[in-house]
Amino acid sequence: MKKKVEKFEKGFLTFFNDIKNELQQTTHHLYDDVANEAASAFETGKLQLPHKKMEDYKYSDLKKHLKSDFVFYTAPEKAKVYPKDLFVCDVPDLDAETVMLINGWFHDYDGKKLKTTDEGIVYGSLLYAYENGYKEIIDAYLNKHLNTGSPLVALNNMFAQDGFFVYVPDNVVAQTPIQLINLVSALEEVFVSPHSLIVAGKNSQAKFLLCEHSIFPKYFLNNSVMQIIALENSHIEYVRLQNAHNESYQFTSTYIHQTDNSSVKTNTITLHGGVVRNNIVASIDGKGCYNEMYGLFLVDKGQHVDNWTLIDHKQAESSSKELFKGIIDDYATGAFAGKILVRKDSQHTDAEQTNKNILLTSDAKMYTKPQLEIYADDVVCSHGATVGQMNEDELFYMRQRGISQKTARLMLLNAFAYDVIKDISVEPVKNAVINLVEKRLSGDLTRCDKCEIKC
Amino acid sequence: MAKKDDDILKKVTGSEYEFGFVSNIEEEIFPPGLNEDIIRKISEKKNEPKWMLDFRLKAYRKWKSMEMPQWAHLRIPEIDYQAISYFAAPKKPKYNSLDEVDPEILETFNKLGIPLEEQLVLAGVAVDAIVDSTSVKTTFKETLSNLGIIFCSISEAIQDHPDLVKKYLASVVPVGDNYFAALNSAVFSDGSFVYIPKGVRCPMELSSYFRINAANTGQFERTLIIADEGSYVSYLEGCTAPQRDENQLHAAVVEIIVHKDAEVKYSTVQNWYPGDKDGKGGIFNFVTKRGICEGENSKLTWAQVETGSAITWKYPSTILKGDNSISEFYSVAVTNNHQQADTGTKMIHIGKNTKSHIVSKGISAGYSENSYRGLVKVMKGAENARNYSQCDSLLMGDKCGAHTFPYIEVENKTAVVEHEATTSKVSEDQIFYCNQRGISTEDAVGLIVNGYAKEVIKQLPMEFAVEAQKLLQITLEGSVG
Repeated sequence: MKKKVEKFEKGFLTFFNDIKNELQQTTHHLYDDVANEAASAFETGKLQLPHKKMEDYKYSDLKKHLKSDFVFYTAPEKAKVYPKDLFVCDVPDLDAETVMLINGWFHDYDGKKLKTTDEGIVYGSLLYAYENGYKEIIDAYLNKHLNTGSPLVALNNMFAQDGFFVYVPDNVVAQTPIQLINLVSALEEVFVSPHSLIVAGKNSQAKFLLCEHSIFPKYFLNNSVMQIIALENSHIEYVRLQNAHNESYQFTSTYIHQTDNSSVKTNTITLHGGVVRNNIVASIDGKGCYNEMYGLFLVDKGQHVDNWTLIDHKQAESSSKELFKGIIDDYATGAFAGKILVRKDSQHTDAEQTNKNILLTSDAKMYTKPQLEIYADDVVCSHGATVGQMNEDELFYMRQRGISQKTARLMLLNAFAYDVIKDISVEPVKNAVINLVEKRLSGDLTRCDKCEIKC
Repeated sequence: MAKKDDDILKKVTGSEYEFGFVSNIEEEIFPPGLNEDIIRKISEKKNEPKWMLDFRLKAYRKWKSMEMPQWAHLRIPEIDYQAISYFAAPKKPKYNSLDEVDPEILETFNKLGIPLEEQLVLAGVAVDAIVDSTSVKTTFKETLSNLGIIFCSISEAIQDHPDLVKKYLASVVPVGDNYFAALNSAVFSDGSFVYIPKGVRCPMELSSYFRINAANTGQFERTLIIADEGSYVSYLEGCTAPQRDENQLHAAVVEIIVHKDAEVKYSTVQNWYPGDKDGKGGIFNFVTKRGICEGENSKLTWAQVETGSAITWKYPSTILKGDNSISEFYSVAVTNNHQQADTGTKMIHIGKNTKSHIVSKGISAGYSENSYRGLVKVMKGAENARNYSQCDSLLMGDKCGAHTFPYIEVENKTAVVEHEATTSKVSEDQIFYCNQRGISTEDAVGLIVNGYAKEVIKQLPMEFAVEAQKLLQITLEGSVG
């Protein structure tokens, strides 16, 4: 069922009350408590839609973008979309297991809502999994290790639809990546709110690729939540590829929870997407953990990309490495906020954070806010941030050797971006990202020739 | 080893504040409370012209409509602004020679180790000594006035140089700039005024000694420094305060205007009473310091050593408006016991080819919280702006916190802005190395900390550098575990 929320900023609470019963029925009352709690927090003013007077949203006045009307699907609609046909251009040689959400609801293009890979990974619809044998796991982790006080999480919980569910059982070591596709495809201005959960059991290994796309050039709002739970000695790699059109609003919240000896590597690559805000929180609640958080964004025209990250070292003897890079063109704006929090008694933490940005024009803007908050003394923490331009000497060196200005610039920008991409371990994904970034930087990725998606 | 370190830690952190004493000078104190009548009374007491009263009232009305800022990484106990007395002055405010000065005041300065006479004769420093609110003595005035330099209390400047004061007062820090600046604008009692005329290089370091004295009186200093074209001045500010149990509020405003080709160096050693080792008492130091590099090729340097105060909220800032202007910020902030500091700088690049350099060294020990908070903003028109910031934190003990909150906002592609920060502790290797060479752990920590802070301390004028080094030693020696 399609429902319309008028003037989202003002009308979302009334709208919530209107569709509440219907939506909560469809979602098997999975989110009732958190949704009602969030709604009352918004009602009483305890929570507010993010605006620039809030420290965490200083550079992203999201409320301003929520003034228009949106359409919301309270239940899945029939669609004929086959991911393999659609996504040829993104990751051409990828041998992956694919699942898909369309407008926030699970799309069982092959008639299966929950599948198991040859290697033993269970993946599919969160709602279906909840009703079919995975209630315990979902109850144990869903909405547990995230900040329900974050306005974006609260908003997601109020309107939570379906989401991806991936369960990697203990000791399963998977080579084949799982590709998750979050697609927005509607002829109206749509608003989606998927809530996904990945649980990696003890001693397991798995790789994920999340692609976010849109088909029609209508503006839309995607406010998604992704929870990643990495249990003892599990190793997870997660690549998020954001490539929606420039009229979209994409607010994402990723919450990573790590226990002893786990490692999680995330890569957030933003190629396109009007107003993007990524909240990425890694809570390191175990010893001997390693967290790698990488991000790259390329913005042009009037786009705005804001990456807000928090690495929370809750226990001793873990390390983290964070690297975010941005290239800002035309009159676009980029923002980065990264906090490393080392709690009391988290001794021997080793945390490193780097943020580098290149401004290509005089109208481009970059705001960066690297932060350290440290309550333990025997730690090594550092952060560095730069905003600048391409190195004139390097350009000169290349031009001396007969490389044209344009090529030299492209080479330098590609090299700049490569730092972030080079650690993706799935070769086809890495090559695809390199290719996409190259195309994107040379300006060829406005219209894709191979697929229907107009990314 | 650990046991010994604990002993040293106890010895050092247990040492009482050296400068805690009260001088019994007769004072005239207004009843506690703040309202328009009190402000009128302050203004009347100081015999101020009407425009000054209007200025104060405007600030007061603005202040009433504002709320105390909550964004800093500080836990500030509720402050009852109506329980503070806003004016205290020694009864006999004028003296012609040193002999007439209240012997107790002279004794006070002697205890602080900076006797007026000695300073006059030996150091060649002109001292504008302030006890509480009214300027008691201004020295070296004549020598300076021969060069056309005006160095007096701001109350005098309001009487004698109203044009200059009118032109520049609140031109850098507007009355409504922030909560504490508005409060200061409404009730400021006294402070220093410096004017260096065109092309004059001030031959000596100008220094002003602030001191909070009477119980329950907030101290609201107002400093205004104007360096006209091609001039140079180095200004020193140092603070000590007597030991008190009640918290005392200090909300000062410092404004600096640097014209074309001029240079100002502003150094601070801040050692207000930090409270006892349980965090009781101590000064709340909420200061707004801001300078503007108004003309081309101007330069403003801030150097500060912050060891005192229970709570410090202070961000000396520079607006780099003139083309090719330069600003530097050097800071060492030390917190121990239950002290809290949230300090840093703002560099606003407006002019072309402007440069700024930030070096901040934080040292935290005991249960203290030490934060660096800074903003580097490059405006659209600031072609070729350059900034380099370095913020290092040193942690001593596992109960304290060290934080870094830098903000970088760049709106011009030719700008190059870099920020680096590290957090670490005094390493066992370093101590071991020193021990091996017969240096005790206590001395080794002193050495390491002083070496760590050296980059900043060497920016201070000689006498201050010595005092600063002593202060670091007193606060921290041996605090490593």
